[in-house]
Amino acid sequence: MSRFVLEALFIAAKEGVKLSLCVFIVISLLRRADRKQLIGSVLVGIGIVFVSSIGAMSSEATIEMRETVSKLVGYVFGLFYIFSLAALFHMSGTNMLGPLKDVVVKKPVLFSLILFLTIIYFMPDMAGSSLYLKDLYYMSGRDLLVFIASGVVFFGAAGLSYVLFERAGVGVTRLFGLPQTLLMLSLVKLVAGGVRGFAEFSLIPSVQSGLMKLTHDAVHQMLVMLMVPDHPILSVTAWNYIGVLFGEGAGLWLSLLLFMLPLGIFLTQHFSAEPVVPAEAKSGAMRRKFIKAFRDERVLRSIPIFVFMLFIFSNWFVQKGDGAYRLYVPEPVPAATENGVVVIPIKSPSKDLSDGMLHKFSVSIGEESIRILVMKRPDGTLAVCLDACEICPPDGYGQGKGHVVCLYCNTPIPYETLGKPGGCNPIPLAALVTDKDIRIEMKEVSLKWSDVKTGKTRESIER
Amino acid sequence: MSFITLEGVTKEYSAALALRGVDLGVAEGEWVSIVGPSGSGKSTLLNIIGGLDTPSSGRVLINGTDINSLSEDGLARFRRETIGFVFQQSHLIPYLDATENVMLAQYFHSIPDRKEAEEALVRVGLGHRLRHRPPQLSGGEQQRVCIARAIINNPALLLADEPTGNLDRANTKNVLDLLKELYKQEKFTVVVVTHDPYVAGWAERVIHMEDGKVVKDEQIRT
Repeated sequence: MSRFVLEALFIAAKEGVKLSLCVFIVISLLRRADRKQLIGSVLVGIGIVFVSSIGAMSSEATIEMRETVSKLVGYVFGLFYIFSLAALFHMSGTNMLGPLKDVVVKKPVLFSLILFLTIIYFMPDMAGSSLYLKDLYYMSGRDLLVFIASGVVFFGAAGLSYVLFERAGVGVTRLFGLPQTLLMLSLVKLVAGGVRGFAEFSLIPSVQSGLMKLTHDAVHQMLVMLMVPDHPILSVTAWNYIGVLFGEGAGLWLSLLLFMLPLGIFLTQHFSAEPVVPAEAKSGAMRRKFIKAFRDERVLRSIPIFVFMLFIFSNWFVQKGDGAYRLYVPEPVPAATENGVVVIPIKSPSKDLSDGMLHKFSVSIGEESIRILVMKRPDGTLAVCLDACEICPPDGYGQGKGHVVCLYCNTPIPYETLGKPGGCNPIPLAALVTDKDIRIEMKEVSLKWSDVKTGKTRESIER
Repeated sequence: MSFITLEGVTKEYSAALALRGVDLGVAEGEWVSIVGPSGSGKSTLLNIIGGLDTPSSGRVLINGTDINSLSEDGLARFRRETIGFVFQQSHLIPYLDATENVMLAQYFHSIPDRKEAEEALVRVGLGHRLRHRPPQLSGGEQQRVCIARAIINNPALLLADEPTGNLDRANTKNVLDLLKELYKQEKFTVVVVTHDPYVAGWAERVIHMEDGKVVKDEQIRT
């Protein structure tokens, strides 16, 4: 059996078990809530997803499509996490649905809602996995065994694990109300949402860099609102202090806070709520029994929340460990010039510009050395920029994890925005990028550099 | 339909038959005494009705539930929610005070509630003995704690095995007066096993047993 077939089997088994686990949890919830008639919407949704996945296999999927599918895993995680938080607070007495409160409980609305959620929940994983199976089929030299074996294993794993969950897991489903179910579904996305492996969705780094960017923009906006000229009059020392606000450490702690705080508030509310004993509980024994049942259920229903928090914390802790490293700041390599054009080879015996690392080159104009930055973006294209931005003095950039960082003000710049003009991004250079090399007019380098050097860009920002 | 129904209940120990096909029905809210000489099978019958022992054959239905078809957990749950027990020996925990002994029954049923336990002790006339431990109480007072412990979970059935066996006549009367008063208030079903005709005389109906069989079933008052 080839490596590709084995990989296909693993993907199929994982998707099968994941599907049956999620379906089991949802169906158990619907049964307990006496909403058995809605089970059909889950099954219809899965049918639609399955047919669409087969369709995805037969389509010509572009790189962008594949990346969108992968990103959707993260978005679905976020969506279900937010839904679960809303449901948690709704269930504990805060009306999160407003005037829609009475509408969403109607059968047609619920049916449509569950159908929609089923489709968006399963679609990214199933479609992504199907596309990857297709890749494996081609990589294996069109070995049909990739499809046959993965199909058999997918249905086998789904069926077998569903039977096992039904037999062994019914007691466990007492732990899951609607909010806990949604939370567990988002957790499944987090720990097993990979379309090419087990888990590819990296939660903390993406949230961390988003928060860093948000804080950074808020700080700049604050200075604008206070009518304080931004970088030009603030010293490096001042920016080193301000930069802490949107540095990696602050971003990391903020990301932990973002996930833990709502759950922490909920748990506090959950455990401090007093039971309202119904009037039917006339005797002391009945009253005590009701309170006991209330407390037992409260403890049981908090277990999935603690499990979720544990996973988030583990994820955060791993990321914190990973983040304990210095920025990578490569030494600029002198670039060759031919007839007023800077020529940088894409591949050389000592360098590959497509390796995902930050590369710096230098060219000389008179006695001055100008740095050029080249780096591969997540979409596979190369960003060619000056190693300077429009705002800060030209200290340049270092490479962090998932972003480059301004050495002057500590601003994180996601890889995706490299080469985009404006703000804290490195200033893009007009360049001709071929399979062999990158060519930049010396005039372009000189012009952009003179703007940086003379502070022209900063002046225009001030104005 | 009877609250307690026994159909052909037998109990066989290694060498002897303790019960030989007992058929019996007890109506809801009835006070029944089971009398008979030692070894007649009356305590065995009470233990089987209370789910503390299992019959060798036959069926025991309490309020329509076949208690021998229940799982071990199910039977334990059924016992703690449906039945209150009073035995000849008090079986009180000696290092817990009267209130805590009653709270222990609450704990195994659901959750302890000191205020409710104290109210139950006040009801059985022990308001002045709430913090006394069993060795500091008289036999009659200990038996009153047992009654408070038996009724604290609001049982539908109270089973008593020689509840006044260790008491003098005055204390026996006090305990039976108390039981009668609670019986009228709570309207539970009472089955008392005794060899004492005085105690048996407090019931509405007396069942006589001999050699593992019911030999006489008499209604003495309604």
